[in-house]
Amino acid sequence: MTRPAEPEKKRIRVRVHKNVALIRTAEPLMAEELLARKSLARWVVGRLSETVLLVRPGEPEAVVEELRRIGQTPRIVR
Amino acid sequence: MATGMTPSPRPSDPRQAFRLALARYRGPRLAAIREAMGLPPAEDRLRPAAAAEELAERLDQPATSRALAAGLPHGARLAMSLMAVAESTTMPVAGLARELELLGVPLADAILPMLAIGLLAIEPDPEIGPVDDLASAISAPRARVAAHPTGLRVTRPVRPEGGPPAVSGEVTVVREADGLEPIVRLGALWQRAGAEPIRQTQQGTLYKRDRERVMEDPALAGPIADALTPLPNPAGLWLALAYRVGLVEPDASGQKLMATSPEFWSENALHLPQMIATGWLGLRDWQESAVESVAEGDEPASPYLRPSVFLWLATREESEWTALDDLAAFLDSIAPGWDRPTLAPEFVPAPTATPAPARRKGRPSPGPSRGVALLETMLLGAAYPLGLVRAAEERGSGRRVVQLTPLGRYVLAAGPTPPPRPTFDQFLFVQPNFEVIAYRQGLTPQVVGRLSRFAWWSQIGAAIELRLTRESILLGLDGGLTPKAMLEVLRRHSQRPLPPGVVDAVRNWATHRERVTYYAGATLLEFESPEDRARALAAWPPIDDESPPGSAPIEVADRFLLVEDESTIPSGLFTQRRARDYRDESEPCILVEPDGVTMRLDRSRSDLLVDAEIARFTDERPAPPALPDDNVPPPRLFAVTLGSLRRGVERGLTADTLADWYARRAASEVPAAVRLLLASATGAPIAPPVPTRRVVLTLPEPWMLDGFLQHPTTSRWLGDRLGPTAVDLPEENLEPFRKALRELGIAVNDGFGGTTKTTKDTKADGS
Repeated sequence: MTRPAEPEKKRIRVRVHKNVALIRTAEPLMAEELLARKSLARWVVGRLSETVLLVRPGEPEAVVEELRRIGQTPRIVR
Repeated sequence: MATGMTPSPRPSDPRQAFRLALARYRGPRLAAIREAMGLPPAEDRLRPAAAAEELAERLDQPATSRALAAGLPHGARLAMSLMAVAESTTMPVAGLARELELLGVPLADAILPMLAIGLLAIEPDPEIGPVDDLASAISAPRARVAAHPTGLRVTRPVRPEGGPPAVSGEVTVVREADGLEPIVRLGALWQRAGAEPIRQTQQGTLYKRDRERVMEDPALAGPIADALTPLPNPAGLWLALAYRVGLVEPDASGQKLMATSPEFWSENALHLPQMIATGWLGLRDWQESAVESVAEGDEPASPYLRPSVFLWLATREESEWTALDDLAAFLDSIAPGWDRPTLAPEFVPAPTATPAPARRKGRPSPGPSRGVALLETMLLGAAYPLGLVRAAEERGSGRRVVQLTPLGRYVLAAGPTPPPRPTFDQFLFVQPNFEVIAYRQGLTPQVVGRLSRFAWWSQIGAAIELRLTRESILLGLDGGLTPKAMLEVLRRHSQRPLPPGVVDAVRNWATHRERVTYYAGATLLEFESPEDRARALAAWPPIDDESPPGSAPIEVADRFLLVEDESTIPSGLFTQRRARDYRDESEPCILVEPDGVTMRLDRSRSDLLVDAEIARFTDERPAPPALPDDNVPPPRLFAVTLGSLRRGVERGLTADTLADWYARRAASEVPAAVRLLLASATGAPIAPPVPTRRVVLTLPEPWMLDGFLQHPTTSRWLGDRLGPTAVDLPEENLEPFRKALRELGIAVNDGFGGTTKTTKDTKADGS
């Protein structure tokens, strides 16, 4: 009887979420500030952590434009 | 610019366009082309699509294309040269006819031999239909031809015989542009499109605001400092050229012109002068002379004159000069009316060419003819700042004369690669107010590219001014530059040490930007437990300064890792459960329980968005305890309550959005129980339920009830059927029903005591 491959056993099970739109802030307070902005609310669909907001996918230009409009200069990772 | 600022779509795939054109030919014509290419006759009936592919494949081989082109008559080779020098793989026959007319070559003599051997194909057109008779097809008013790209690539341009007279006397005041004008202007345009895409309508014209933004920007619309003749609509020229060389490109919707990737500069800067020169020779979206109105199906003609004029200039020796009025007179002698403004076939006699002004020394010119004016705009207005021609004055007469520069000769395959510009490194003055003055002598296309990535071109003249702004630095950061790299470029080319305020500002702008990061398409790894994530981090390959940006995973909440660049994930560490791509539509992952208000989340199909969506109008319930030794995590349960729905309604939930959500996420309609709660939550009017006492008639066999319901004597007294053997009997009908039974001769149990029940009893029966 062949033994199951050892490395396979040690692999970690993950679920991969691809092409997720997110906003990450340097501090939690900044995330609060963004959440309080009604103009951003239509794109922000949830909060994954204190500093990471989940954003509706598919409208990157609109989100970036809105962030800039409220005085932010976001780093953009495409 | 007659056609407005509307870059025409670039031909998608020239080879495919050529193949599709051939595929619309009739079989016998394709058979003739196959034979002309030296292929054996087809054994079976020729299928046009397959034959077109076969012919295109043959022409893909440079040796085949070269051999076929070599056998063409001179006129046809001139036609190929015209298309090759402008890299025009497709063009209207009327345009090619005008180009050939300027070279004194009849259209049919030139292109029928090319069509016959398949180096050129007639594009599909409903007016022409499937092509068979080539001569008839090219005479259609809107006929267009497509060339096989390999055929053009291997074509060594030939020059026409003869040529305009060379100036015999001496010339003076020789001027040659540095050729940087288009590079810097295109750099400025690329920046503008990078900072904010240039929007265009579905018809391809720019929106008013975007048009004004481009037209009124001094870096784009400002006059050329070294101009010999004003350039009409300079901003339109730069936009059309930027589009043609690929510095701006439409987005997927076709409604925005976006700046192409910054890598364009490192990959193409060296060849950009040639790319721009070739692009301009074939540019149709900008004209030297405004044409007020163009009839449908007609086109402005000046774009089709450039390749021919330049082929004529290339007939002169390197040191020879050509006077513009001599050139105009020469073209008049070959093609009277060559300078008519559109491609329309009607012959419109041109004004008599200025007859040999050189012979009228000392007399003032009466003003240039239309042809001379056109040549002035073409050669002195556009070709001179592009670095394609030198200009001078004939001593004594003062006539304008031109000759090709090394770049001009190279583009026309009449000379070797032009030597690189002599440059010096320290040519920048970075000032404390963030202005940067650049001396043109230090610029090269590569340096223009480097500066374009983070310094805003604000004035373009004899000296050039750039500005460092927060936006320009952000553009650089977005393009992948670091503050260190930007400062390094400035230091390297600056004559003095950088002002400390500038260095601090660049760093501060960059730091401020790091406060918020927007990820348009990040990858998140979701672990089953925080411990699993800790194991993954411990095993993750070490990150150091040499690692590409975005290699380090970022911890998010207690079970996620955010990865900027998916290619850096050490996939060997993981077993991947089902991946979810958020560019795709969301999929059903909710199971509605029979009670209608409880929902079960299918963890294997759920995504990050569903949590946020479902939390808007449900409350999560405690999960049932997991079974011992069960590796499957317990299901997550959610319940819709009046309170949770009220919360959703306050946040904008409507019946429509709820119906859409159930359709997408549960593949079902909104359950009735939830509809009821929603009506209550929204205050929709609901008729109050009225409790009533019912008498239920039950029978031992379904067929008996079928009979009562069918027979007119009894059916009229019965209410709704409640089950196979139970029926509602309104209390007031009891007596008439009893009488009806008697009429049918059916025994009646007194008082119905044994055969009728209340609703409560019926439910207990389960009927």
